[in-house]
Amino acid sequence: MTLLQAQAVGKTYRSGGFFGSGPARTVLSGIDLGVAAGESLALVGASGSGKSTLARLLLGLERPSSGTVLFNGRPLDALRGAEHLAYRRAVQVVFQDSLGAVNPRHRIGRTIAEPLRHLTDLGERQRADRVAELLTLVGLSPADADKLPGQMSGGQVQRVCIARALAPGPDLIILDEAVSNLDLVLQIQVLDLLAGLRQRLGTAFVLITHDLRLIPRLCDRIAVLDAGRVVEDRPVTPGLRLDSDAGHRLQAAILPPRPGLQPHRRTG
Amino acid sequence: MTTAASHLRLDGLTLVTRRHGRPLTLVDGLGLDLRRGQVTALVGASGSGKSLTCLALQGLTPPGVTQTGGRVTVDGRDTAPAALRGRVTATVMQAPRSAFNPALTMAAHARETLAARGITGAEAERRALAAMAEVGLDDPRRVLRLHPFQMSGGMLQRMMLALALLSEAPFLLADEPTTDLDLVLQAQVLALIEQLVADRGLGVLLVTHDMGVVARLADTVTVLDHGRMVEHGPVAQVFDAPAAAPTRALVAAHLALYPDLAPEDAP
Repeated sequence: MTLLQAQAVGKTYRSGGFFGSGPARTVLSGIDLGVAAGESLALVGASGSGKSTLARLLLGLERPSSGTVLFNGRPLDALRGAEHLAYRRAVQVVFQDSLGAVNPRHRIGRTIAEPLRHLTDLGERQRADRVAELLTLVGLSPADADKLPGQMSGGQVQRVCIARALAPGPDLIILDEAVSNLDLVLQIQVLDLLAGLRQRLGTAFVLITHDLRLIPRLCDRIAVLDAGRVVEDRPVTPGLRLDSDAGHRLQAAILPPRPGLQPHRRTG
Repeated sequence: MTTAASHLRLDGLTLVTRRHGRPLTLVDGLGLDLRRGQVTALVGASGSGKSLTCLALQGLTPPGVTQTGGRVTVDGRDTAPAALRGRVTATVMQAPRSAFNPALTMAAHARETLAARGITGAEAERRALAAMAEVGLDDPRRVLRLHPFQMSGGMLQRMMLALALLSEAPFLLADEPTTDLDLVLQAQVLALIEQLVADRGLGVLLVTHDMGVVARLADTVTVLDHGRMVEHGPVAQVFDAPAAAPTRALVAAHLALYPDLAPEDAP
């Protein structure tokens, strides 16, 4: 069963500001893309290809201009009451700017407990226990619950955001450039942590990134977006080669592993 | 003449701060050697002191941080770090959006840079258009009229490089110049820096946490760990025979991203 499915989804923004007189700009068109339970999909593409817009539509933060997003086969627009709550619980997100995604005046414990308060019926004691469990899960200490974001490093706050996303026991987490602000060693640590969680908990992931090197660590499928369309959708295999023009451009731009080596650089 | 400077050297840079009432050393006796036509990479984990070093080299130590040691020489002559800015060194930073004045057009930014060198009027416009063409900005006349919010991150990063060129400073301090850009733009900006090193003999200090960027562009590498230099050498040596533990960790983490490397390339 497809957990979350975009069907012929398009998104158009009207530019020209307040008076809306400018021409319409189409950001996404004809997107058919689904994520199955437990699947891990990488969504790649250049800046402006529509990756983050698609993520916002999948999260229900914006409505598509055309087409439908389905959660467990039901259109997002049709979800009411308990069904809507189930969707909100099931699909979580981690954004790129972790410090901007937490309230600097709230202690870490409160930040992680926030979705528990709104999306579950856990009592105060149970929430505190769950927070301690989540902090351990992401490699932090239960004692960190008393800290403020300003007392932690960027990498630690990003782990807090991951713990918050995991808190309501979601079926899918969307990672919108969620590791891009970390240094490379931390990026790898966080991705390996997520891959481990995926194995243990069966959580599905959508990893939005522009760094193809990171993808095999977490993902088993890759979709390439170019100018608002899915131009390639294939499994991640050893020695992955992308076929689309946009895929070629991304692959040719991969940094070399060693001085004097250019991987995937094609001749002709 | 400062524009003829060919060797920029930093010795014994020491930066301290106070935390919980106790002195804490952030950068400890660091030395750097920049030469024209060469790219020197300064690498290390987050918090190792890379960006602080880059700032201190320009006399821009942030509040609360004290410089207790360090000497900058240009071609062997002692120079105040503040005297380097815009004359000996130009800067490209990570977040291009915060490096521009949001209320000013690109033309105003270019005029300001050139006026500092006494170049105004038609000559200023001619030079601005030439520098913008050199960094690959399409239709530079149109771009001159734009404000930062009307431009993409990649365009702004190119404009920052164009402004650096207008200063005609012989050295470029590039602090994570491509970290915020997508892969394709990153490759373009790195190729552009490489070309400026070759064509103009620019000397570059490249601050980065990505060993892929180092492999792509650097001639020599200095590795920082908790404010101390733990390794320094030619780029091939640092990749093939990293001596210090922090260097080995950086190289190993980087190479782990290339599972398809042929066996002869593996460490």
